[in-house]
Amino acid sequence: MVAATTLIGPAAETFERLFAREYRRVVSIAYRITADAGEAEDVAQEVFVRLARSPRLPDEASPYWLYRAAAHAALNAVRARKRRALRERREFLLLQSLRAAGEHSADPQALLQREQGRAAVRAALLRLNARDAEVLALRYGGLSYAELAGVLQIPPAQVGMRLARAERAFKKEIERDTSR
Amino acid sequence: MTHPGSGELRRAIDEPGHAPEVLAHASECDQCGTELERLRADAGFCAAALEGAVAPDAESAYRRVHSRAIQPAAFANFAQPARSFSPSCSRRWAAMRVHF
Repeated sequence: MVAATTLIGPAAETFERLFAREYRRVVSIAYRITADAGEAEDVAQEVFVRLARSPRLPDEASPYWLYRAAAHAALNAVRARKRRALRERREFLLLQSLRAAGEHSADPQALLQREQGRAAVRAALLRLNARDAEVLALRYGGLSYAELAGVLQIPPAQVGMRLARAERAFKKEIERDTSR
Repeated sequence: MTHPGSGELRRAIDEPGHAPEVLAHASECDQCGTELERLRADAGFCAAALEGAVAPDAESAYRRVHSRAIQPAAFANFAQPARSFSPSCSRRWAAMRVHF
């Protein structure tokens, strides 16, 4: 059985256009959550593979499914990152960057602090409820208020409220983390 | 003008041209001005925490996605490593080679 039946004929062209137009944005949304460019690309590619294998491609004019799927898949990826293997990989990368910093006379302590700061941000995102994390990823991933209204399926007037609430909750989580 | 809600004030920070009267009101109203500054501080904090630009290579990504998407599910098992011979199986082969 061939899994990707949609990638034939006109559907293949639609998929290619969607990919060309939306890939960078999907990566950008995922990156807000993963803070790791490689992992964000993995997430984005997984989202497009799922799209290609789905029986029906979304409307080209409203690729909101992609944005939402990117945010959710990135959250799942970060949750999975907690597992041992990925933690080891992060430690290895940190060690590498510290070594590189030493070689290039940068401040290894500053790098370590930056890496710890990023880890605190990801941890805070995971502690938020999924709706708040999603709206932050989408907004800081580059979506306008009109697009956010479309993705979240809420009236445009409510977007600012959702965003303000998510930002408040995020800031509180970070502050709670740093005050411990 | 009645006091705008937090959502309207938040949008006015990102899209000041959307409703200029909201910012005009906040500049004259202490209560809304304070709320606007609080929202601005939260937004600045989040922007700093979630900043970062990525520049993915869309062309190579498309090739990877395309090759994965068109891979027939029936062939997926071929990617798995071959099953190794068990020691007893190897011994049988060794015995057969002696007889040949």
